[in-house]
Amino acid sequence: MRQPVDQQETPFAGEVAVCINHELYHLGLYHALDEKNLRQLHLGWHQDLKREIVDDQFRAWVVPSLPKDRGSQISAFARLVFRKMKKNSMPYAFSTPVGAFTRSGALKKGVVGLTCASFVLAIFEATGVDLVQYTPWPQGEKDEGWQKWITREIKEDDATHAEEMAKQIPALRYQPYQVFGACLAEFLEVTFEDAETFGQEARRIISSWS
Amino acid sequence: MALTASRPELMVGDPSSIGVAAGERQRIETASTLEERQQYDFSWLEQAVLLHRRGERAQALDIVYDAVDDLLSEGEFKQVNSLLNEVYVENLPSELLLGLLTITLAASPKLVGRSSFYAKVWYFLERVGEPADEILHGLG
Repeated sequence: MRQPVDQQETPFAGEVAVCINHELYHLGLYHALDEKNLRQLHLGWHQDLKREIVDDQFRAWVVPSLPKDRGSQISAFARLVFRKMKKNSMPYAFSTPVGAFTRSGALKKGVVGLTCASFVLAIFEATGVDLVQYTPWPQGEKDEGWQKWITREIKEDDATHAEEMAKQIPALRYQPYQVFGACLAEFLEVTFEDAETFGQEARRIISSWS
Repeated sequence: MALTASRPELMVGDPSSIGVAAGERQRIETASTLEERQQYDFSWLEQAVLLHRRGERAQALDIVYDAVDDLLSEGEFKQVNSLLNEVYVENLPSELLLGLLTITLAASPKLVGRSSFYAKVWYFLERVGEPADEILHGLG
């Protein structure tokens, strides 16, 4: 198993990495902007895709077990998505990450939106890298309640979109710690069980950091 | 899951050749005529290669991604097919070859020339001693 890296001790340097906050509820992507600059790309909220200079909001990072020489391609696709979605905006919802992006880096028609974690999965999936085995992926006990809560919150700003989100419930939920856990594996297409196990291990390690 | 891709079944004759099998070429030829191909402007690819040689790898990849993305968005599948058919893989850095394969992945059902291009890249990587099966995982 790979070890999560403490961003405060060893700042990320490289082509691409998956990053998570200290409480393990928000996931993003560190990627190269060019030969000298790094950025963090993450779906913060509904229509709030952020690309920022790497700061301290994500605590841990890991480079997944990628096929050789593919990091720069994932990074390039992440840059393309940001260029596209700045115009179109990125909706938040519970659609599957599988095939979420069109060939042009925009969301495919019919995709209502993504979460922070499924956004990261979708970037990798679009470049031919499946971090997890998408099915079977069981419904968590609290997933439906969480999805209803998120939908209520978004309804305050965008009632029309919230209606579309409500139709998706119950939806499969790829939680940030599970996706981060999958990235700790020494292989791709990580099962739910392994993603859960590695994710819990990541939680144990990261929570021990001061 | 092992990080490998399956070896493409395309080549006839010398397996180390990076040429295209005769039947495959005939199929691709139907995708665009010579006249159409002469109208296409792929100068952006030359620009990308130059930038890559200067060490500006990210910018080079961005040019490839943007240019192919624009073509695909406009439904210019013939033009992209023509590009994949015309590219001489030995003239391009492998990072840009991977870029072409990555950005065309989602459109592969509409790109008849892509499987042939994939095979050419595969055999090129093998010839230069790179692990094609690892590098091309998921891009076939």
